[in-house]
Amino acid sequence: MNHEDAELIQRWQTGETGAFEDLVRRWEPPIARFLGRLVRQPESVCDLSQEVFLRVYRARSSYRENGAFSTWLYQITLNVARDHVRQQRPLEPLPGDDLISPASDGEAISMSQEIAATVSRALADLPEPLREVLVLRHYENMNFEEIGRLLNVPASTLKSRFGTALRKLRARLRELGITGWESDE
Amino acid sequence: MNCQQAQPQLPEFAYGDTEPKVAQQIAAHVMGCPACQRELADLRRLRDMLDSVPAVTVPLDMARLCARAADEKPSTPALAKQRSERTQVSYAMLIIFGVLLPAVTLGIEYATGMCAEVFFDPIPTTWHAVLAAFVPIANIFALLVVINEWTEYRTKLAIVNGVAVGISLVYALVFAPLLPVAIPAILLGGMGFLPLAPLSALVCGLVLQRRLISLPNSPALRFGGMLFTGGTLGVLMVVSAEIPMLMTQTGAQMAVSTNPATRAEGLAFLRRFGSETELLQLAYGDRNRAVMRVSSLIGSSITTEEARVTYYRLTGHPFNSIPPPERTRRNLDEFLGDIDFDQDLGGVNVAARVRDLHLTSSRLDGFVDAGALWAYVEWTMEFKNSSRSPQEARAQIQLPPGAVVSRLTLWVNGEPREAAFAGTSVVREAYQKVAVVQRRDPVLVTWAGIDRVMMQCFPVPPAGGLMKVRVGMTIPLPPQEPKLACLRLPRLVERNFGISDELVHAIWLDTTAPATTDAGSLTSQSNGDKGWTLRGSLPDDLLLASTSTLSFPLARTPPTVWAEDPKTSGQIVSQSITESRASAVNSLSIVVDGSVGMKEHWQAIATAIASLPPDTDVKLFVAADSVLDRTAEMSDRSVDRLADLLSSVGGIGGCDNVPGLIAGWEAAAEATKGVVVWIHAAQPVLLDPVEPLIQRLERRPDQVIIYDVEVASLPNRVGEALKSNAAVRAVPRFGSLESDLRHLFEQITGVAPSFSLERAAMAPSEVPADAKKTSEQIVKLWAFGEVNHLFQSPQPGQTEQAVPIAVRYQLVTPVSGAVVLETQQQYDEAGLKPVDPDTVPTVPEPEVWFLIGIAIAVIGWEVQRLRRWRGSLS
Repeated sequence: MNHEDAELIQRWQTGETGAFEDLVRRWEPPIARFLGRLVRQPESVCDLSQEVFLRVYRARSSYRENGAFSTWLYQITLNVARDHVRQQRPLEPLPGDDLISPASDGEAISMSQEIAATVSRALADLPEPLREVLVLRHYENMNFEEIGRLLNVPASTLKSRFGTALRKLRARLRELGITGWESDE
Repeated sequence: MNCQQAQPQLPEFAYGDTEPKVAQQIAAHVMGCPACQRELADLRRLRDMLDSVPAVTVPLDMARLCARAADEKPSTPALAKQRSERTQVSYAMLIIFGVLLPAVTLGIEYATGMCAEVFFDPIPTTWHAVLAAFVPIANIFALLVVINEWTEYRTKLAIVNGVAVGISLVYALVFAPLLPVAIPAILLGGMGFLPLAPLSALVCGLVLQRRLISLPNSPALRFGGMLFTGGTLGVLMVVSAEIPMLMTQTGAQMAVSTNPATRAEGLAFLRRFGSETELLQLAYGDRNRAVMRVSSLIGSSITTEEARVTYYRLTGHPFNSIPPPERTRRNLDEFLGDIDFDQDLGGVNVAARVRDLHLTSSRLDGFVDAGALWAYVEWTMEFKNSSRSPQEARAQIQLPPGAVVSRLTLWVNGEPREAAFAGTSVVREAYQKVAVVQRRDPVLVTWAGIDRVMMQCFPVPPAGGLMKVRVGMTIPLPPQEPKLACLRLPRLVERNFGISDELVHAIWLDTTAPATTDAGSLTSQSNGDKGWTLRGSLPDDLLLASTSTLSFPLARTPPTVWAEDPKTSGQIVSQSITESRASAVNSLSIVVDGSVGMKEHWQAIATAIASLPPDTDVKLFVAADSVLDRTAEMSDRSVDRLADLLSSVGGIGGCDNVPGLIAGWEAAAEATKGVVVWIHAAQPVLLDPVEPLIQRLERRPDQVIIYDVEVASLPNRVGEALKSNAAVRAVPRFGSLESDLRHLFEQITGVAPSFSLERAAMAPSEVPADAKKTSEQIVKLWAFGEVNHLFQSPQPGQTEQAVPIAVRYQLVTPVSGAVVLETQQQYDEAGLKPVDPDTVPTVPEPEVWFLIGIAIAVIGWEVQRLRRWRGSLS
């Protein structure tokens, strides 16, 4: 465990409220980023972050120093995100006129934002287990062993899921109008 | 490396997660592979596109969070202590109700069989016991994982716990009907906790499942996922253990239906899906086996007797020819020290095999006067009981053809005691009173069909105790050919005790002529002037086989012999050979048992039938599941055709022969002189009623004769039911089935003569001049014939007249039996009088026989001299 985390937790468990606030401030940005990629509605991220740290607060007495705090925190975040996704209704597919037209060579910035939004949308459309492994590997830069410990799934399974996730993402992007793939030629 | 190997690894390669060595190989492949190059380019493009997605940065509302956190109940040391105490209590409850109660319940049931005895058997097989033991073991491991927060094991343990929940669920459901009994029983000594064990294990299992999936420091799992997987597995495990029992009980219930169609369907079902072992368990009285009882799901369970009948129908074998199957564990009786209470004690049937009861010693001693065509053999048996409770040894003894039991001895405290002979009901009542009520030492021998007696003795003392009995039998030796007498030794056809493979029957017969036999272990030695001795030993299977037949070639046709009647002053009995030749039969019905035990005999039967004169009117009936009339297919009587015909219709399970016998009788009765030859294997149970057949035999006793041919020495309940009927003849089995059948066919078709021994009572003056004096044994045989004649007579009151004759001559007959009681008081109470030891037949030593021979010669000479003197006077 990170030394700073350990110290903050120890102080917090002995009743120092400020230590909990320090812990939240320290971990809030990465957890919010992580939640933002796991769920589709950015507007929910704030509430979900609250929920994550509230659960951390509640679990104060049961927390044992037998693993990394970050792993525990990510596990809680994943559970919060899963609960949220299950409560949401499936999103309607994007209408056809929203598709990116290859001929629409508009402004470069606007274009890249549009592509980013489409990729974000395609990412959100991935099945939950695939999305989780993709986010953890790509954005959180975890290796497959770390992800395995987090998800309680063998690393070999995760590698396979990761490949599937990328291929499904490409397929979905094709559907959403992103062209120019080498494999199309 | 090729594309097939490279492409799945390209995503990792694109992210630099590949091992350096593998990465080199992939890179080398990609260099020369346009397809993989394109794939890799796409993956890198995807990676860049993912990078383009901006991160969401929403500042956390710290104030709100802190406010919400502040609303949470503060964790004071007192609260923490209270929580800790609550946790400790919950762990203790889980240990008591989830581990200890199920484990203790299983242990008590395993040791005592309490539930099995009263309700149903929750652990009928080892597999059930393993499944039941799995529940507390799984719960204790789950508890360890929860207490120690071993998160790395929790997924596996959640599934294992699910399995335990599944097993508990099944048991909780089957124990549910006992709950109304269990709850009041808790108040009366706490035994009511035991039926609650499955339910408590189920509840604890669910609690543990909840705690396992929500262990701290690990991702929460969805409640129900692991539980459903494991639970389904657990339920399937119990069901798989139940399938053989459920299938067998379902089939057996159908097979005992009164509706013939349902019965046939039940048998077919059992043959396809049933388990012989399970049915055997039911036949041995283990009725409450299935946990998911058929009785509670479908209807009432079959009775032990029905299971025995069904076992025969299914397998073709008597259930008690197979030792009792090993039980998974002890039962309540064993626990209480009264092991294997024998429900058939003092009964009329041999019934179920008793564990730990064995025949430990057997000897046959005897004397054969081949010249006078009689023998006397004593069979001494010793039983050992290794169990913890007294046991009754029961057996049906097949006597040599025409033989009669004339002596019965029981050793009490090392002293031989002789039997009292009386009417069958009197001796049986005395035996039951002494054996069953007083539990003292009696032995009983009663008649059990032609050439069969039932012997039962009680108690063989427990813990290695021994009981020794001796059965003496007087045997006629009717010649099979003019100069050939045969003797088949007595043998056990049905028994409730075991015979170890090591046991051999020790044989010692003194004979007046050298004996020949196919049993290589028996040798005949000359004793010079004192005759011969046949000695050796036979294992039980060889004693049962016809190869143990003893043949006595005779130098000349035996003369008429006579003996004084010791019971009637001034009366002698003579015995002479009569040769006769039957007139050809008009109609011959051959009734063949279609049971599985006949399979190996088709060829022999076909060969014998093929040897019949071509003009003989032969009808063929096969007693299979129904009676099959195959007369129409008898036009071609070649051996192969007949063997094919028989094998095509028979050889399945055990069949009822009574309908076949009725069909055969009806066919034979159409002619003026009809004969039925009934060839059969074991008939250990009565299926259809025998009365219609008995009615025909009694109403038309002279119209049709039934010849009863057994392929081996086996139980024959149909034969017993027909009793000593004049129209039924047991065919002696001295050789192979084929040769004995041929011999029979030659005799009944008049091709060969038959020889019989005729005995008559007369005054001494009527004895032919050339007759020779012999032993009083022929008087016993004469008396036996008289008793049978009276018993078979249709005249009223004749049977009553037969009893005093049987008692006076000390014989076991259809109307009389022999019983040895322990004390004179018991004899007095039963109104019985034991025979004077000086009047019982014995096996004389060769020297004694030599002296008797001299005495007989002197007496004979004196008688002749007296006759000559009387003749000179007249």
